[in-house]
Amino acid sequence: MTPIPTLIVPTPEDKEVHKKFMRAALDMAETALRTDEVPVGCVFVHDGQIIGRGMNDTNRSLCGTRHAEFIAIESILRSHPAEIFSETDLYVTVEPCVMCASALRQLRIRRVFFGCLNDRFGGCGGVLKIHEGPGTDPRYPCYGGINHDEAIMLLRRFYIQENERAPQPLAKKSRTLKTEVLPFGEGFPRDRNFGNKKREMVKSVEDALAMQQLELSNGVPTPSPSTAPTSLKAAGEVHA
Amino acid sequence: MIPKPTGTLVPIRTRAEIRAALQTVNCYIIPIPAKAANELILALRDVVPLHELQHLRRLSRPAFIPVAVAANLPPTQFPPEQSILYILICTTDKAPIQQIVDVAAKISPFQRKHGRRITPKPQVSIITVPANMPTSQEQSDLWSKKYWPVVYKRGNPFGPHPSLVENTQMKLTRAHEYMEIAWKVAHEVADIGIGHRCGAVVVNPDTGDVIAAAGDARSRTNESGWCYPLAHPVMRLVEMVAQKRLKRGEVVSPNNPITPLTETERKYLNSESMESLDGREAQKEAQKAAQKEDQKEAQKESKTDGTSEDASPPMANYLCHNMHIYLTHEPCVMCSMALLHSRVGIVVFQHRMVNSGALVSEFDGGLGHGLFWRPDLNWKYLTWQWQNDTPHTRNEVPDNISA
Ligand SMILES: [Zn+2]
Ligand SMILES: [Zn+2]
Repeated sequence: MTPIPTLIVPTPEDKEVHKKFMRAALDMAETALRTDEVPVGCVFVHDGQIIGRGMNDTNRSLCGTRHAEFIAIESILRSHPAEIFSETDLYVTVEPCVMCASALRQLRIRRVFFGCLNDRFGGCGGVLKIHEGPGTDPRYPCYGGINHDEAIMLLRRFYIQENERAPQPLAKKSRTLKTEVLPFGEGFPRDRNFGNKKREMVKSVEDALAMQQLELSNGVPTPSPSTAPTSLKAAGEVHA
Repeated sequence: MIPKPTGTLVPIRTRAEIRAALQTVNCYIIPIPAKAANELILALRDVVPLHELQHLRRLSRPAFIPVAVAANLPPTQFPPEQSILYILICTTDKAPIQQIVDVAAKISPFQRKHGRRITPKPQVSIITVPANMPTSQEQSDLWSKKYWPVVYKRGNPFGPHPSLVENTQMKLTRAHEYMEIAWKVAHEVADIGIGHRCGAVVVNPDTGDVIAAAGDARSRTNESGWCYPLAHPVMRLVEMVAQKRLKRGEVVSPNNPITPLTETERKYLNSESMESLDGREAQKEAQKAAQKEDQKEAQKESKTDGTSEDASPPMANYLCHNMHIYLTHEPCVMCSMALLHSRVGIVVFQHRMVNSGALVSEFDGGLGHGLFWRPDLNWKYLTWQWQNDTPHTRNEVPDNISA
C-alpha cells in the first residue's frame, strides 16, 4: 500500500487551473450565502469541463444531508452514468465532511481539491481520514488550501450575517469582519487532544455557537416549525 | 401460530471504551504486616500521587491476588502467623524502585528487633494493571481475576453512562416490531430488483409512531438508464423525514426527488405522523418556555446523562432530532454520518457489516470508526445490535457492500 499524500498544495504549474475551478466553486458558495445557506460550493470537473455544480442546501430542504457535493452528484447522475466519477475531480470550497468523503469514495472519485479545512466534520484530514485507510472502495488523493482565504472569508461573512439577524447580537468585536487569515495548515491540530491552536474557521464556528447559547439563555422562544431550522441550525456548523 | 419474533439488544461499545480497556500500566506492590499498612501509606505520602489508580484496591489480602500474578511474587519474609496485606504503591513512572525500597525500609516491620532471627527487607514487585476504570461489572470481575482486585464504580468516562444505556434499552420494547417493518421494506425492494435486501425505519421517540420506512434503491435506474449508487436506505430515510416536514410544493432533492418505491414506503410517507409529531412537540416546547426553571433543569440533566456534549438547544422539530432508527444492516460511513448530521437519538441495527460498517469499533478487522459516539464529533447517539435469527432476517447482502 502506497501512502496517499494529503494536504499538499498541487504543483505550481497546475495552480492556475486549480484556482480557476475553485473560483467556480466559490461562486456557488457566494450564491449559497445570498440564500442564507452556509456558504459551501463545489464543481465536478471531467476532461477540463465542469459537469456539475452544487451549493449547500440544508436550510431550505430541512435536510441535514443536502451538502453541496450531493446536490452536484445528483445533477450529474441525471445525464451521466456513475462510472464517470472515476475520471472526475471535485473542487469544493470547504473540505468534504465525513459523510461526503465516504460518498465520494463509494463513487470512486479521481481526486479532491478543497479550500479550507473542516475542523468539525472533516472527512479528508480535518477530523477523520475517510479518503484513505481501510475500506471496500478505492482511496483517493486530496489536496487542500486552494483559494483557502476566500473560502474562510465566505464562512466569516456568513456568521456575521447570521449574527446581525439574531435577536440579541453578540458583542461588537464578534460582529466586525476579521480580514487576516492564517495560512493553510497553520495551527492545524495534528492531535485533536491538544486543540490549543484552533484555526480561524473554528473560531468563527464557536462564535456562532456562543450566539446560539445567548439566544437560548435570553429565553428567546423556539421558532415556529416552519422557520425553526433556518438560523439556529446553520449557525452551529459548517455543512460541507 | 407463528411465534412472535423476539431478539436481544446488545449495546455497542464506543471506540474510546474499547481502546481504554486495552491500556495497562506497571505498578509497584509490597507485602507488609496488616497492622503496619497505615504506617507505610503515611511514609509514602510524599512519593505517591493522591488520586492515582482509584479503580484499583489499595490493599489486597494475598488470597485475592490472582494466582498467575502471585506465582511471580517472591515468598514473604514475615512469619506465617502474621496477617499480611499487599499494598499497591503507584505506577512505576512516579518513582524509581530504590526510592520506594528506601522509604519502606524506615518503617517498623523492617527494623531489627530483639529476639527475631531474620530482619525482613522490603520486597517491592512490579505488576501490570489496567490503566483505566472498568466500564461494566463483568469487566471488573474479569480484571480482578487477571490483574489485581478492581473496584467497579458504575460509570463510563469513555461512553454513555451505564444507567443511561440500561434505562433507554428498557424503553425499547417495540424493537422487534420496527425491525419487522425494516425487513418488510428490505424484502420489497430486493424482490422488485431495485436494491439490496436492506431496510431502514425511523420512529417518533415520544409516540412510537413510525415516521418513515425506506429500502435500498441503488440499482434503480432513472429515465436515462443510470443508477444512483448512493441511494442507501438511511440516505433515503433521512430525506423522507425532511420531505414530510417541507411545505407542499417544496422538494428535498429536486434532481432526484424522493418517491415511495414500495407499498410500505408509500404507507408511511403518506401518513400524517410528521404533522402530529411537530404539533405535539411544539406544544411541549411552549410549555417548556413557560417554565424556564424546569427547562434549565432539563438541560442540566441532558448534560450529565451524556447524550450530547453541546447539550442541544430545544430543537425538537429539527432534522431527525432524537428519533429512533432501526436498520437491517450496520450502516456505512456515509450513512452513519448522515444520521449524526441528522441528530438522531438511537440506532438499532441487526447485521454487522464487517468491511464497511462504521458504528462498531471492535478490533476485529472492521473499520473501527465507532462513529456513533466520538468525542471529536459534535453529536452522539446510542447504538445497539439486534440479535435474532429467523430465516427471513438472514443476511443476504455481500460483505463488500456498503449498507
Ligand atoms: Zn458533507
Ligand atoms: Zn450507507
